[in-house]
Amino acid sequence: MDVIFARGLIKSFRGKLVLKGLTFSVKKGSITGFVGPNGAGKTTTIKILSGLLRKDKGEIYILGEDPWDNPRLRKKVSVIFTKLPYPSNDTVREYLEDLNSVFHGDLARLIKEFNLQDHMRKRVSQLSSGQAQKIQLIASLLKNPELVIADEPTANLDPQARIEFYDMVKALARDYGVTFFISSHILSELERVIDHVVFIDDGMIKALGELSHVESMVKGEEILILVRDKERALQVLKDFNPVVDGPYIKVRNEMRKVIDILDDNHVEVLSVRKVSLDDVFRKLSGV
Amino acid sequence: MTSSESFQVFKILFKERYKDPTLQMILPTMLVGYVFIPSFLIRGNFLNYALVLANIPVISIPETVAVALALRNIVFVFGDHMNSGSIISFLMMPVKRRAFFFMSYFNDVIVPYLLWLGTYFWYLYELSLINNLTLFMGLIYTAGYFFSTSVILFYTVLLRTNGAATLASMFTLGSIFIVGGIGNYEIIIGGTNYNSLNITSFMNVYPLILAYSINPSTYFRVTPYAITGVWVDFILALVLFLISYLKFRVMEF
Repeated sequence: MDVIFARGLIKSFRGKLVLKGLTFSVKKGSITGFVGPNGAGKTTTIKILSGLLRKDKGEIYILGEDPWDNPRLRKKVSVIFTKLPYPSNDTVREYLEDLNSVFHGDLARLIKEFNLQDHMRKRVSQLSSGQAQKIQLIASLLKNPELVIADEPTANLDPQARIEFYDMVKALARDYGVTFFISSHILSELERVIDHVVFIDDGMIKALGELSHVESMVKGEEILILVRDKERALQVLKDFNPVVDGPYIKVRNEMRKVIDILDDNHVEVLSVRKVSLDDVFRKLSGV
Repeated sequence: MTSSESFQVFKILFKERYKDPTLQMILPTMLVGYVFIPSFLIRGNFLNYALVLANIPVISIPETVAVALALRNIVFVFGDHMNSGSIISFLMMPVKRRAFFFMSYFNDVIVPYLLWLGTYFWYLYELSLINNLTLFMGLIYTAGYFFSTSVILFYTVLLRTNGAATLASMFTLGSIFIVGGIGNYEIIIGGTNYNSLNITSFMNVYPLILAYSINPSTYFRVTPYAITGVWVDFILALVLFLISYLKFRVMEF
């Protein structure tokens, strides 16, 4: 079943076309990354999904319903924004208790589970970015959502906080069966959690599907190798048409075979990786 | 959306506006503010004049406080949510935009009005001063209150910037009040062309009722225009309120 379904979604601002007929879907139970360069239309799409913007044309359904001004969906769908959008003078306790008075979640359990006791008296404005996102994520669980939509949730977080955030996402998807739709352009961390990807550029969907499918679609058998002696490696691999890509050597062949050849020629291999989401991103966005 | 959920959202909005110490300050201030009624209350021919004078906003502290509270609520709570984006938190709650707008309006505008209304009539009741004049003064204030708050709401929704909304609404209301006041005085003092009061009366009804309180013989000449002014204020308030509501319903954040 598709949790999100969009077909021919169009949105413009003051005559400027921002979304040019998006068509994509998100499967139930998946963690889907919504990636694309700045200005591609990610936030606009997420705001339409959240019911904060209206579509101009096309179809958009979340759990089978139109998201615009739809209170029923608010009980099943949570949205996490880059910044915690709540009156900044309220304390964490007030914020969570206010929301819980509406959604009737198990707040006490969540406070205990996420070790929030020390932060409850802090004002929302006093929270670090990482703490605020943690609070948002916990707040999103008060309604036992079927879907969590997150717009650049880790944009203001340091690397450690980003890893913690995504670890929580993985745990929640696993333990609660929540579907996640996460927009981000910090792809190295996103790649660790998502199983599906929707790639948007210039208001159009450029690729979508399972992560492995999208990666193979873009690069095939391409691999990146980091070696101690680059010159020698290039000589050894000359039959594979190697290309220097920063510190890496890029070749298109079976990984096992390439490693064996390097080993046979005593070239020390420091690191090998197949194509990453970053490579997909660069290829599809023409960077 | 259940009634329980709506009530909880209403409670959040109410708490946000009237949490400590707002109510503790406002209610006593309003009650104490009616001190001008007994202090002006010299009996005899001066009675009507004193009552009218005591009920003119700015002189009357509770009326001023009610408008100030509504202004604070509309511009610096509701408007600030729109401006800062924190309104998103409320739009993510399980209520229709329509319900959210009316709940906000009730908390922002109706609650201060009810505080004023309750204290006003309680005070007058205690002084045994509920009569046609004080009822009419209450009606004039009511019309002016809803007109003023609708102007503030209109600018808040239109401009979505706290400072600009405050400046624009104060400038507009101040201009209307002053120009209307001068116009009404001139027409009444001139003693001719009373029909022009049909146009100017809504801008500031107080000179008309002051004229009556000073010279009761003008009753039949000015009172119909005062009633027209009250009606125009109510109609304009309703129109501006509806425009604000319709604009908010389709507003994008």
